[in-house]
Amino acid sequence: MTMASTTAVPGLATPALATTAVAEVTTRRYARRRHATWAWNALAMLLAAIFGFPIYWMLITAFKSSADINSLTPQFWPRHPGLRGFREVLADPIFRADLRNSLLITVAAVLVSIVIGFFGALAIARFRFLGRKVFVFAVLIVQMIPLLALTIPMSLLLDRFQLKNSLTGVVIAYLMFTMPYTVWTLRTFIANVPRELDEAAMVDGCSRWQTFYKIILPLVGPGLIATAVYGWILAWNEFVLANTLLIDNDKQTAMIYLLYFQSSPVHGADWGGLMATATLTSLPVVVLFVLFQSRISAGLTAGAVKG
Amino acid sequence: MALSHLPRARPDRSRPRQASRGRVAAGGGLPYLLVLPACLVLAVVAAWPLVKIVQLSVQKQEGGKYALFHSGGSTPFVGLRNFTGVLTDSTFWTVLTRTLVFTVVNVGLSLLIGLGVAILLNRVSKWARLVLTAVLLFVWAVPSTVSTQVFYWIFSSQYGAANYLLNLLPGVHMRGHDWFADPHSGLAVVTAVVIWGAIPLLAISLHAGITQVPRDVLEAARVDGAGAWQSFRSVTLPFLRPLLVILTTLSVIWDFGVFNQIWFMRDGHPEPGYQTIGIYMYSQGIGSSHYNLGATVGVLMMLCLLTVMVFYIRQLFRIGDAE
Repeated sequence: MTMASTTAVPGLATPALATTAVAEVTTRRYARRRHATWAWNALAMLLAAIFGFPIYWMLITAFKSSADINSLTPQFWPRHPGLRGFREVLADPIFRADLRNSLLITVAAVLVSIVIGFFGALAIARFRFLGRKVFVFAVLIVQMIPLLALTIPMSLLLDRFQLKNSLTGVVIAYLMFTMPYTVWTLRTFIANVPRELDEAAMVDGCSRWQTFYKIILPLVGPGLIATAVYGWILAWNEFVLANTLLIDNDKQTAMIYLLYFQSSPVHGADWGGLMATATLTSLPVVVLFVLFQSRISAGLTAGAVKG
Repeated sequence: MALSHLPRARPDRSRPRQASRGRVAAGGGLPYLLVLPACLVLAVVAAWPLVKIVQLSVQKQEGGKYALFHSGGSTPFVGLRNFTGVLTDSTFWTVLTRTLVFTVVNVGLSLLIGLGVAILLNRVSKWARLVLTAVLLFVWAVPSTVSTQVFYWIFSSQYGAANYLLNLLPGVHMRGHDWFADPHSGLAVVTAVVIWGAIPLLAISLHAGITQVPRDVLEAARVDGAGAWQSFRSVTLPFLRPLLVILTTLSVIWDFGVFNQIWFMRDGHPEPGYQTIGIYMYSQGIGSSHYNLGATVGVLMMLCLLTVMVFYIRQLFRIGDAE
């Protein structure tokens, strides 16, 4: 059995069989493989159930009534579904403020890094210039630096400019990881646009800038979306920097609200409320993700395979 | 017709192919103009903090808790005294050992499971592949903070689903079991969260890698009498090697610096037994406001990872992607 075959159509992999003996062996092999495929499919479904369980559990806990949650025999299907958890969290003005802050910070960080990152990516994908390698190297290194280690100097530096405890400060700090990522990923997408197109456009009288926004920009469009969505996910999910830089309750992000939900005396041991908060907090990421699913998975693998 | 409205138009614009081999391609100052904003941003958000953290690590913090803020308090130069202080502290070594064990276990398990799922994805029917991939993509989209809270709830002692399900097994009594009383079993739950979150990226990209293994080479291996394991080991694995190097280094970097999962699992107050190097640094530096000590640990943390980064970047340059 080969590793590469899945449900190969019998005869496709080995055309024109000469002898009946070979044919017989092959048929038996395919029969066995069909049998095996059935078992592998079952295993795949089992794994899907195991991997999906935490998400399922989060959702149904959010919809369960308190009595059903605090029961010694957990119910694997909500018997009295309700929106109590969601209503309670959404009624909290701090949660709404924090959600809005997360949104503002994320949009700003993604927009700035997409615009600046696009130009940077264009430069390294399309030009050879002195210091290009140094720039590529710097981007790669910064992408790898543990963000966590830089929280201390970052918070001291932003404090010096009165940007601590301000959303602008967090946006600036977030560029630390969204920018290098954007430059690096967009570079791959731009490099995939054939150079001949630029040349043809320029022969036809386009200027460099016209080539950028009339030829490269539309062709890189899907790549820009994938990059923006992934940058969004990175910024939305960030916790440490926001937790360090933002102090006031109504100036924090949804991630920080999620952490302090349990320790707050109002919500102690409110699993339904916590899971509702968790669901609402991941919703902006998951919705975007479902909308652009095919693009992201392409970008994800492209990014991973190519670094 | 004029090729460009830009003043820096060069005659070699008409043959950029040849020009691109030279050091400075068509465009003159244009590429510099294009990278300038990105360079400025990198200087502010990366270079400056990097200089600052090294500076902090060779200074002594004097005065009150907020001395370093608002330019209060003096910070005399003390050379490498902070480093000798941290490196002779047995707590640091305990934390570092714990972090290394945690990293090896997490990277090893997530790569093994990821590779297993990737192979499985390659074997199953199309519909099964679509279902499993869809689930994995959803898992990938869930923030680590959220998944940690969900696992914390699943593993909660009284009403958690994990204890209930394990209790159903014959001979297992898990009712009311507290997973977090012992840091080792608590970190095992953290490991479960980390691996759960890591599998999607690993499995999907490894599966993409496996589909790119040339079929005729596998066919040739089979004709030569190679079994499933042999053709995997001598054909598929060598093809996956560059990808595996990249994924391993990335996993090491992520798992070495794991933070959210432990921080959220312990409600923002990890006990000493839960401290990995990232948590230790943060608690020292931000939590107790010992900025200089925290910076020192931060520098040591980056030095540890530098060795791994070298592998990653060398691999990128080797496959020609960084060119």
